[in-house]
Amino acid sequence: MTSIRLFLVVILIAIVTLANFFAALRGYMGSMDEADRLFNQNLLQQAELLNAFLPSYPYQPDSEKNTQNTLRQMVLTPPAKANNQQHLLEFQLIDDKGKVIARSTGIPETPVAELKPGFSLINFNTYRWNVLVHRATGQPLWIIVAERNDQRYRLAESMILQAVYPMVVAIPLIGLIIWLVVGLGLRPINWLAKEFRQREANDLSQIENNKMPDELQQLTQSANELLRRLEASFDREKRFSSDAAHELRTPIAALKIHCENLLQESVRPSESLLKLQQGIDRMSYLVEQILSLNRMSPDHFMGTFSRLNVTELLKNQVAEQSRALAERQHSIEFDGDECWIYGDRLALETLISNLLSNAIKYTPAGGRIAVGTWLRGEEVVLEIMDNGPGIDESAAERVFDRFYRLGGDRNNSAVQGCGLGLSIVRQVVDLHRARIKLTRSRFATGLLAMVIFPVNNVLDATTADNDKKGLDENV
Amino acid sequence: MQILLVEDDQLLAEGVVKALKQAGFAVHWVSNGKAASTYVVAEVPNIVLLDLGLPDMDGLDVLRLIRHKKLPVQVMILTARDSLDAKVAGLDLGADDYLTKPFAREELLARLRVLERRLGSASSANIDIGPLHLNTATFQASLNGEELFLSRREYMLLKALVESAGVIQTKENLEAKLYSWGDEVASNAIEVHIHNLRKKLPDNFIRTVRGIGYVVDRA
Repeated sequence: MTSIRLFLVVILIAIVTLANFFAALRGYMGSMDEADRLFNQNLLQQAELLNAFLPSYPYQPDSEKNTQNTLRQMVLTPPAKANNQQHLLEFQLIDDKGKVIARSTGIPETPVAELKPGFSLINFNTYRWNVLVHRATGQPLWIIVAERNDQRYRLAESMILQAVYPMVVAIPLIGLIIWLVVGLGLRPINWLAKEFRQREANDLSQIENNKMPDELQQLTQSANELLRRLEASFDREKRFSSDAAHELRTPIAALKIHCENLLQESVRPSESLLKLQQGIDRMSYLVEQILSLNRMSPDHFMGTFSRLNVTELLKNQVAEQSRALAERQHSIEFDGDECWIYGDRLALETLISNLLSNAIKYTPAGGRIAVGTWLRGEEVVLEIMDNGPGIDESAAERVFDRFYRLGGDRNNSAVQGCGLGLSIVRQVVDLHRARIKLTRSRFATGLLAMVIFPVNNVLDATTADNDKKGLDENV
Repeated sequence: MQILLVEDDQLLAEGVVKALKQAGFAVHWVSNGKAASTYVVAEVPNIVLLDLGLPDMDGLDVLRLIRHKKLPVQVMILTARDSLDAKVAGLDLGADDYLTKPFAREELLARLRVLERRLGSASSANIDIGPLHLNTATFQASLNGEELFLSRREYMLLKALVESAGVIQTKENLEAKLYSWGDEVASNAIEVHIHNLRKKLPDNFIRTVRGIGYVVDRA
């Protein structure tokens, strides 16, 4: 049973039905007893009535022969009314010798029962009868009154049916009420489930306990305890990441400056020294990328979202990478609209910087790079496009994997990279509920990376407090 | 030019001290916040290079002390922590610049020279890019030894471009600088000034980065 509600409803309806059934059974038996009592009383009354109205029987105790010779038996037909609705009442009058001297039509000519006063059940005429053997008062006669047994059942059945029928009709209604009441009772569980479902990955705040029913208190208490422990461990890990960043960067900074001092001192630096510098730069870059990847992972992301001018962020990142652009002698240009989105500054800077540095690194020297932000309907599209070798369609998904590098581990030793850039980009894209597309560039060759920020993430430039004019085409 | 280096990591500190000495700065190094606090008050340096992660106190407290005492000191924060909050907090408290570890030696020296220039030191007042010579102390510019006559705004724009040669200056960035000099900037003011500047300078001395801004390439 996967649903508590369904389980409870089925079980409760079953219990109600069973209880009704037993009540009906008990009622049926009670009704039968009562019917027996009433009918027996009735039989007795009938017998006494017969007795009272019986014509005085010309009885001669000694004229045995007479009676033997002249068989005088009265056969009486009860009035039709008495027999209506099959309320069949039959009787026999029997003298002391066991001879039937009077009877009704529907009863055999011989005594149907042993002449012993009392009630009994006897079969004749293919029916079962309740029979009363009664000793007449004032006359030496036996009165036998018989009544068909099945009508007692009919009466009891009709009585019990009257009682059970509304119950049967009411069960669906009861079921509905149970369904609703159980739903009402389970509402705190739904509320709790919603509370958990709607949580952000990094929301470890405690669940409000006071409005919970007793049964759920334990659950919420345990959950809160777990959340507390999780938060503590997250805090420890965050602090560790931050400490690790510090602990790694400081010695790298030391290595770097000593190496550069050495380079400065030597008139003609040895090749080993230059390689050392390259190695340090590579390590430094790798550490930065790993820290970024960690910082942008949904579990560790600590950013704060605000309205940002993504166009300005893009241009600033281009400026940041001026040196790399100049070294590779790339030309770069911007085109597009001024766009605002809701996002985290550091994360978006990381995203842009990674895409841009990929374009710079993988495009052969003297290449072209075009960047832009466009307002497309309700979406903001950030584009970074180069005329480098591009990415094969078959590899377009794999490039987001960690440590994956196009063309193998050491694709091009001239290009410094560690295969984390696009993994970081993907994480930032996910954090902003955006999409990323890697397609063919509009240049003859090359890659076009498009990050598309969705409707609810876009802010109208006109609502931005920074009411700058659109970009000047003259620049 | 007196520089106080506040850095608890000895290996890094020794490297920085050596680099600064090679570049002609006078450096004093302390390794904790307490020593830094006493030193800045007793012997006010020109520039403080301040690490935020100090063993005994928060580097920002040293910065707070410097600003509280209104000492005439340029402060550059050096830190290995990259949270944006720390950066904002540092700049809000009145730091003049912010550099994240690990940094390139050249970057450090270039930024120190900018701070030095702000202090008006004669030794750093001269900037030479190819045929252009700029003296930031006398506000004079010359091309191949011949004096250039520039308007104040032209001079300031040229200085901004030349001071960070090799780094693209976005149009917004240049506008912000003109604003900070207290000028009202019309929407095409930058274009107009650049146009006028170009007439007085060699071809392609100021390069346009389409849609983004301008750059003066390093010599």
